[in-house]
Amino acid sequence: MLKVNQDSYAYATGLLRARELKLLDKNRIDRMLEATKAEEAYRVLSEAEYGMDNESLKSVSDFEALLAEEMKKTYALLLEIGPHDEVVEVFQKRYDYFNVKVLLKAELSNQDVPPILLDTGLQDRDELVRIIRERDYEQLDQIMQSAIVEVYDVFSRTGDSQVIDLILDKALYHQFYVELKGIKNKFMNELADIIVDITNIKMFIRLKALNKPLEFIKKVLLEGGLIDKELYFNNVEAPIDSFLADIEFTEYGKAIQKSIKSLDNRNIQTLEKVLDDHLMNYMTQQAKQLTIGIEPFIAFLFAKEAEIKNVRIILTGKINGLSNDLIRERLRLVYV
Amino acid sequence: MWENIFTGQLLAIFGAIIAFLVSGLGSSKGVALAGQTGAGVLTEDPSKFGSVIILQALPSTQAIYGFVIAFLIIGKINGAMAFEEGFRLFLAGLPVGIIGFISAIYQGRVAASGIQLISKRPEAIGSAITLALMVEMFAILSLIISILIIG
Repeated sequence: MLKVNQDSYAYATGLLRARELKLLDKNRIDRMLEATKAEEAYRVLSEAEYGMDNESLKSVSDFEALLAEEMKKTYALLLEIGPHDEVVEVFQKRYDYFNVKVLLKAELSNQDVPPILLDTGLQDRDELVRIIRERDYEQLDQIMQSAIVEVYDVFSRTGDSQVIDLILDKALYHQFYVELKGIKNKFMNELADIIVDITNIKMFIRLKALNKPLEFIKKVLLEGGLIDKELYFNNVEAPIDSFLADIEFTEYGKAIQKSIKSLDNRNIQTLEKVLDDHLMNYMTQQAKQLTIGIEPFIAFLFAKEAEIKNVRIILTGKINGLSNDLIRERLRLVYV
Repeated sequence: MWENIFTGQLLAIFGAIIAFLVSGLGSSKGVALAGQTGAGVLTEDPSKFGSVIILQALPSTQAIYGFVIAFLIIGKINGAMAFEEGFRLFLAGLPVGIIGFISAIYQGRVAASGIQLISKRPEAIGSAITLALMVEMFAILSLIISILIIG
């Protein structure tokens, strides 16, 4: 079991505090929003040191490639400056799951591998292609291995390609939860519960909107977290407001409920934003009251992920000519 | 029987060792914490070197105070020392050693926070130093008490 020595993060914390200045703050986000053209908004990113030197990333239409590159750079930085690679790898493995999902979908529908594989994960992209094609899973984690086997098993019986997402997402969060809980550090353990709960609430809201039956919801909800699963099961038939009212009596109640009440326009997107913001608030709170430790380290990763999410929302909105108010409504809370 | 093992001379030497050893350990830890944080900031922005070095040096004073007390104690040692006299010098080493140890580590943390502060707002160097100096006061008080006990 990895035990985190907070003081060993002294160098990393110092570096990241200085680096936080370059994150997109409110000011830069406002400038991106006020830009009349998508290109203009895109150029603001160069101030935040997004690497646009590369000729192939000059145009706004390449923004997805730029964001992928930025995420990869962030992980490389954290691996370089952090004292425990295992801590970063827990988060990196999420990208492996994404790649495996893409590969399995291609494999099961006998199509070529689409060019959307990410290079951010722990496993090499091309190696992963070979592993899935040759069904040689030995290098993969145990949880991922059994998930892949399960996908083949269920798919051969039902022929339903939705099972790929269902099974692998569940395995992903299970592994994420187990590994975060496996690190001997209070913050990482709390984070595991918050992420599971927030993911469960989001999934439940979406599944309710699709009128999925109780058995299905029971199958997909993640294990762990602080919210009792009965709370979800009891609300399958009830209106969404009654579910949100029940949430008020849980650990998260007060914080989430207040921002939900202040929403003028309550829909799935804005509710998800409230939940994401809650996670970011927790991060900020934990990271800012501490000088040296793992909290500011992980908070930087989340800040960067939220930032990339925001950039994607703004640029997609600008390219499609959405109004600023509509874009702003969906923007996530920024860390700085 | 005690007097045979712990002579006044030996006790006084213990006092000198505690005064320097314990405060020195604290200063090493404090300066190291501030230094590592400083190195992180300098990786991003080398122009902050001047401010970083001042803040990093602050937790080293505790070891200097420990050194002073150890020096004074050693100066008082002689072969024919009474047990009581040696025991008094032993006790004199404790304040500067123990308070120095703890205040150096905490001062190191305040200095590391200060370094993070100036990485974002370079003009706040004055405030960063003042905050770290607040911790220095307790080390100074312990130095005075140790000097008074030596007499």
